[in-house]
Order: sequence, then C-alpha cells, then structure tokens
Amino acid sequence: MPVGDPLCTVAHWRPPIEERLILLVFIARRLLLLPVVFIGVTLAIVLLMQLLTPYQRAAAFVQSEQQIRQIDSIIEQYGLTDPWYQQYYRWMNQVLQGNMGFSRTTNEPVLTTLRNRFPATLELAILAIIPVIGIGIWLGTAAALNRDKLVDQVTRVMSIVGWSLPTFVLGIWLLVIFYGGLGWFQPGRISTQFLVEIAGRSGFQHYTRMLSLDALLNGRFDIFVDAIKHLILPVVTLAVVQSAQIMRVMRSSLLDALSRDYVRTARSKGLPERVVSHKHARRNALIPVVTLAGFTLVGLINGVVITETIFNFPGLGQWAAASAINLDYAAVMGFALFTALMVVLANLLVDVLYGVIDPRIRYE
Amino acid sequence: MKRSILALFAGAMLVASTAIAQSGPDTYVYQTFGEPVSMDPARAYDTGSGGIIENVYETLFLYSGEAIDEFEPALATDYTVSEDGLTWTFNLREGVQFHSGNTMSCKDVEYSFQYGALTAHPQGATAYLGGNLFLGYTGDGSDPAAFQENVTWEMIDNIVECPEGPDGLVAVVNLVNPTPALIPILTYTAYSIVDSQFAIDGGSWDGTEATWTDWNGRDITTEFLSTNTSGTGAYELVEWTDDAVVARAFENYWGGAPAIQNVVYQYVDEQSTRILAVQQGDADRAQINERSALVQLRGAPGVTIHEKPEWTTTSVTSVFFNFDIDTSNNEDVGSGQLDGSGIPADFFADVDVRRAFSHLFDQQGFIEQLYEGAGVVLTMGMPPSFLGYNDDVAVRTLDLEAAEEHFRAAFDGQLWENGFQFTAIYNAGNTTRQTALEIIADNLSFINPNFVMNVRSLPWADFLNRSAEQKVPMFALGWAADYADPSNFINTFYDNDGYYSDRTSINVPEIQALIDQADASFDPAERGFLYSQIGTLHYDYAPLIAVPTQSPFIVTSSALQGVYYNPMLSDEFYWKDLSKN
Repeated sequence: MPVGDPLCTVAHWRPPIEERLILLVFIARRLLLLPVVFIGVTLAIVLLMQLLTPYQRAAAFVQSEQQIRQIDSIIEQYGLTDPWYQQYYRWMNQVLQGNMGFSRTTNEPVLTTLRNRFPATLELAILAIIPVIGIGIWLGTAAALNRDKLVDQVTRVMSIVGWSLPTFVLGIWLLVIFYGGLGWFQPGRISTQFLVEIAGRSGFQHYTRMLSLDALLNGRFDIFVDAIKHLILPVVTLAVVQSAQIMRVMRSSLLDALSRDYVRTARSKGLPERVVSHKHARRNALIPVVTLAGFTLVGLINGVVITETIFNFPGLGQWAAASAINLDYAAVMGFALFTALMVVLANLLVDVLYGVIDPRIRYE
Repeated sequence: MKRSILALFAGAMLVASTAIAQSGPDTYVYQTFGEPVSMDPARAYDTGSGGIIENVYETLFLYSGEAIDEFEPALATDYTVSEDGLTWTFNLREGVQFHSGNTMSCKDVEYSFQYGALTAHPQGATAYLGGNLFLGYTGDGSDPAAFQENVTWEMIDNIVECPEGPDGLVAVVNLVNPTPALIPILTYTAYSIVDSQFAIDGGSWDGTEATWTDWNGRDITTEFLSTNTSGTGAYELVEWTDDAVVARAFENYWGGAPAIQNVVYQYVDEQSTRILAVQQGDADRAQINERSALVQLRGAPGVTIHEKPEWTTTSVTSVFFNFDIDTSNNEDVGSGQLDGSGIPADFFADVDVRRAFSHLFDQQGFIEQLYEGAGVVLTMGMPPSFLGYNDDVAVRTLDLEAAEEHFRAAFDGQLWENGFQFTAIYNAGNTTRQTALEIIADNLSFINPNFVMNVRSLPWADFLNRSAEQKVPMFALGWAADYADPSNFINTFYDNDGYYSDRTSINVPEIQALIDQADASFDPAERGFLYSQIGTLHYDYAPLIAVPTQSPFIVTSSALQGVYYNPMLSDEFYWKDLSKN
C-alpha cells in the first residue's frame, strides 16, 4: 500500500467503468495541486534568497575586478533592494507571460536551457533506469531466493560496495580506464567531428533533442552509435550506484513476502516453487520497489550532478548545481519549478502503478 | 527477433569498442572552462566571451604576434591624429565583407562606437574604457536618468563622423578628453566593428536619435547581438550552446583563408577530464589552471607544453594598504588606536610602516612556494612587458633587519613601544592572495611579539563590500589588463582617483604628479620615462606590495602549430594563425 498518501487507500471492489472514472478524478485532483506546489516552492526560494543581502546577490554578477565598482549599479538595475513581495510579483508576472528569466549560468533564457538540457538528461535517465531497475530486481530476487548462500552473500557485498562507493570515485576510475587507458569512450555527449558536422544549419534535425533518437530519425546510424558510446560510462556509473539500493529493497521485501501465509498456502497447494516465488511473492514484493524506482527515476530526470559533471554531460543536474553556486536566481527558480512538476507527475505515476501491481488498491 | 536484436547490440558494441576518433586535421578543439557571457562586444567583458569575439569580430587594429605594443592594420589601414589629440582620422580597408555579406564602411564604425557608448552596460567595458574619452562622462547605463542628464544625442552623434558619407572609407573619431592610449583601447574587443545593417535588421538599436534613450541602460545581454554575430573576422560563429561553441572559417575573409577550417570550444569544468582529452588527442589545447598539474603532462606522448622565459602575464596581484581606514565599528582594526591592541586610521599613511611591511614579503620564496619556481619578481605594480616598467629599480624583499629599522622609525618610535594588531583580508578560495598575506603575517611574528597581523578570508561579495566601505586595513587584489598601456595599471593602482582608490585612499603626491604628467603626454619616450620614475618612487614610498607573476604556459597537442602567447588576447593567439600537422 502506498505509504503516507491519504488520497490512495484500499477499498472495496467497484465495476471497471466507475473505477476508471474514479482514477481520472484522482489524477485531476492531483494535477490541481500543482499550482499550490509551485507557489509553495517558489515562495520558499524567494524567502531563502532574502537571507542574502542585495550586495551579496549583486556581487554574484561580478566576474572580474574590472566590474567591482558596478555592484551598486547592478543592485539598482535588478531592483534587488525592493521588498521581497515586489521582487516575487515581478518574477511571477514574467512567468505568467511565458518568460522564466535569463540564466546567468548558461547565458540564455531559462526556458531555452530547460528545453536543451532536459532531453539530454531524459535520454540518460531512460537508458540508466533500465539497468538500474533490471539489475536491482534480478539480483535482489536472486539474493532473497538464495538466502545466506554464496549468491546472497556476494550480492549483499556488491550492494554495500555499490551503494557506498562515491559516484565521483567510480566515475573517475571508469574515465581513467576506459578513456585515458583504453581510449574507448569519450566524456561529453558527442564526438567533435559529428558536432562540427551537425552544428548550425547543417540539415540535421533536432526533433526530440535526444541525440541518439534524433540520429536514428535522421538516418544517421554513425551518430547514433557515437551518442550511445558517450552514454555508456555515465549509465554504468549510475547503474552500479543506484541499482544497489533497489537490490537491497527488493531482497528484503521479497524475503518478507516469502514468509507470508499466502505463500505458504500456495506452496501447500503444490504449486512449483518458481511460480510461488516469481508470481505470488515477487509481485507483492515489487510494491516498495516501485515506490523507490519512481523516486530514482525522478532523481535521474532532475539530473545527477556528480555523474554529469565528471562525464561533462550537459544535463539539468550540472546546470542546477552551477546555478546554485552562482546564485543564479532565475535558473534556481526555473529548475525548482521543473523539479516540482516532475515530482508531482512521478508521484502520480507511481500511485497509478500501484493499482496495476496490486488490484486490491483503489483510488478515492 | 531475439537474435536480430542481439546481433544489432553486438554490432553497436563492436563499433563502440573501437578507438575513438581524434580531432580532424583541419579542426582546432579547445577544452576550457568559463562559458561566454555574450557575443555582443559592447556587453562582453570576460575572457570566455573575448576568446570567441576576438576571432569572429575585428577591431580597427589587431595585435601583432606576441607583441603587446605593436599593432597591425586590420579594418583600418592607417590613421592620423590632430595636434590636440582630440581628432583621430582612420582610413578604412576597402572591400571588407561581414559574414552576412554586407560590406564594411564608416557607418559600421559609427554604429559600433555609438552603440557601445549609449548602451553603457554596467557589466560591459565601454563606459569604463571610453566614457571619459568619448563623452566626458564615466557613468554607466544603470541610471539612465543620470546618464541622459549628462549625455545628449549630439554628444553620442559626435563620436564618429563619416566625411565621405556612411558608405565611405574614412572614419573620424572625436574625443572629448585626449589619451595617448587610444589605439590600445580601440584594440580591445569592446570596440569591435559590428555589422550595422545586420544589427538593425535583427532588431537591435536602429541607429537613430529617436530611439537612443530606449537603448540607454537596456540589459543588452538578452538582445539580438548577444547571440547573433556578423563580424569581419576570419571565423564565423556556427553554433553557441551552453556546452560548446562551433566556428567555421569565413570563406570571404579579407586576409585570406586560414589553415584551420573548424574551431570547437568545449566547456569542461573538470580539469582531469581536460588533461585526459589532450593526452588522447581529442583536444588540441586544454586549459590547465595550476602549474602543479603539468607533472601529469610532461613527457606525455603527443603533448607539448609551450613556455618561454620571456613570456609574462598581464595580470598583477598586489597587497594594498589602506591609507585612511574607517575605524568606526571595525573589528579588523581592534581598538582603532596605536595602543597595542589596534591600529589607527592613518596607520599605513606612515611611509615607514609601508616600507617595513614591504620587507616582510619574500618574493622569491613566494615563487618557489606557489609557482614551482617559475615566476617573475616585480619591481612595481605593472606587468614587466608594459611601457615604462622599471627593471633596474631595487626590490624590497625579505629583510627582517630592515623591517625592524623602519618599524622603529614609524610613528616616532611609538609603534615599536606599543605594538599593534590588525586583520588583513583576502577573498575566500584565492590561494595566491591568501599565501601572500600569510607570508607577511608569518614574518611579522619574528620582529616583535607585540606585532600581530591576523589573516582572514571573506566571501567575494563581503570582501568587496567591506573593502569598498574602507574598513579593510590591508588586502590582496589583482588586475588583468584591458589594454596594453601602462595607464591601465598605474592609474588603477597608484592614482588618487584611480579604480582602487576608493578602497585604498592611496595618496602619494610625488607619484600622483608623475601620473598627471604621463596622462597629458603623447610622446611614448616621455611616457616611458615618467612611468619608470614611478617605478623608482614605488621603491621609495612603498605604496603597495607587488606580488610576483607566474610564468605562463600553454598546453596543446604536438600536432598544433602556430602557437604563441599574447597576454592581451583572451585566448593568447588568433585562431587564424594556427595549423596542424
């Protein structure tokens, strides 16, 4: 059962049409929460920024000694001494007109950065989530079914190592071995020769801005392979670290399920062990894994700062971290809004998935 | 089905596992950090932008190789100056095309200089570098009302005249205040010549009196010219994203086709990644911050470290004294009195105090400690390559006996008797400035147990705020040259009314008299003499402590040819001078 979600409860069975309607109402109610979440998140950021003096915020614009006398001018130009509600109103007014501001970190409008970087991160997240979940569930299941045997011991050690291994250490190791040593996989998103080829008005269409997909849509298998090559090391890094957590949750959840009465009943009915463990126990054990996978996916979609930085992958995480360091107000607000949207949508998706996994769960 | 998927996957992995391709023979790949802010010359004031702009746009004159005081004709072929130094007549090059296909003429010079002057962006360079020269007003556009009270359209319109008409090839530049440094100033990227027709068609300022006030004070960071370029440079901008810049050789470049056809700038924050890239041959040049990182690259196959003894940077860091400290409510000066637990406001106005502190800084030790032995001891607060740098003058360096002698003489012996205590400040994270101050503090402790100098850091914003409030007794700060003229450093560091004077209240009348004379002179020999005299007075009056400069180096692939070091260029050389084996 979804934890801590008052909108989603176990209830009695209803006919399918009514059930679908209730699901739609449930989704609509969740989506109606979005503006409230947006206002809450942005207000929190605005108030946090007020903890810094106008001088501190203006000094973040200063890139060299030559500009240090301009700080007062910058405060004046951006109205940094105005009351916080005026600054918030100004920003909100712009957002409602479709202008989320200008990111000083990427030196382009926030919307442009989101448009360019989100597909890159999404591409990485989609490719990473498959091994993250697949390996996690597979090894977690193997460990639980072979409790205290060699497979279990090895898997548990692997999960501890994977989870406790700092991402930057693993990332740099992979980079040194597979780039510095073997020269197989470059950091970045695309090789220089292809970057030059597709830059500007080259005829290469950026339909989705996910490079591997766009390469296929443009019929460029060479660029597709190049894009995949650039994704391999970050995906491996993420898979090692993130799947460890799913593996542990899957293992403990499956062990718990295997000790339940219904599993004993299934066994006593004479069902083969594989059917008992994989169909009866594992399906129930997946519920907490789905919750975790949902948040893992949100984490991946919102960018993975260290992985993106090490592999020089131009995603949202790299941008968000740099923006926070630069006190890039518009970028931080834009990123927070985007993240809030993603969290709400992912929560919704996870809640809907519960119903698919566990037919007892109904929405009210 | 399963088999075909497996075969596809295996095939892809086979391709993936082949060695990666290196950058092509006609492509120059530079891995650096610090993305450009703007492609608008009037807005850009950072090396990230400058490195691109100096190759996409051109100024009237360009730097010649490694020389910082020699200028070769570019968009102007020659010039004359009126006797009063106020009227500069430039003959423009014929047949120069912009990347858009438009032909360059006087109207473009007129538009470029006027646009820079009237936008006067607070984070750009035009108000600072040209405000006083062209308009007699140094305010920027952050306060349009004040700007428009002091500046009229007639003044803007007067900056450039086209005696042969807008399409003519003569441009007359009128100054309000003369300067001997106009050519170096106009060689800075802020005075690049933009394509006026391209700018107007794209929605930039339309070049008329009717709209100039609309553009005064506007944040041009988000305007057309910030992302769209049409220069006359050897390269045209193809793409600028937040992680890469791609430029291509301009086929109609007036100077002939360059050898390198494609230029790619990749912004890679991780230095270790940049080092791997140049080792792998994926980058032709990698920006390396610290000399200590060169250990990984020395002797690496395919990598060349370019360094020459005669190369010097044009950035100078100094330890500044505050001659008139605001002691009110100021914990950094203790009691605010010369009573052993603080310092008075005029502590550093005493020349013996300054001389004594100058004898506590170990320049050579600093070079060994921080620059791995590769640095240059400075005799004054100016790069050694600049006109008038005085190499012959003595340097006050570590001498505890001399320091004691001056401390005993200061404040009529009262200082030695009572002792003192204060705190010097640097901006957090800057190890060069931190080390300079800590060396002085360490050496001070050997002189007299009653002398206490604390060193602390402040975040950049707080450091700037506090020093601007005159509350910091001693601090370390640097300056990178905007243009290759001694005034850029001397006036910033030593002038009573210079850029740093509101933090230092510097006041050495003997030096000020020489600065005023040099500012009024157009004779290079005379100016050189006057600045060298300032070098002598720097020793006598010790108004600041110059910190040695690090010997520069450039890391490239061995295939890259044509590398040189011109410290006035944002990226040290023009792309058009490069080639690859």
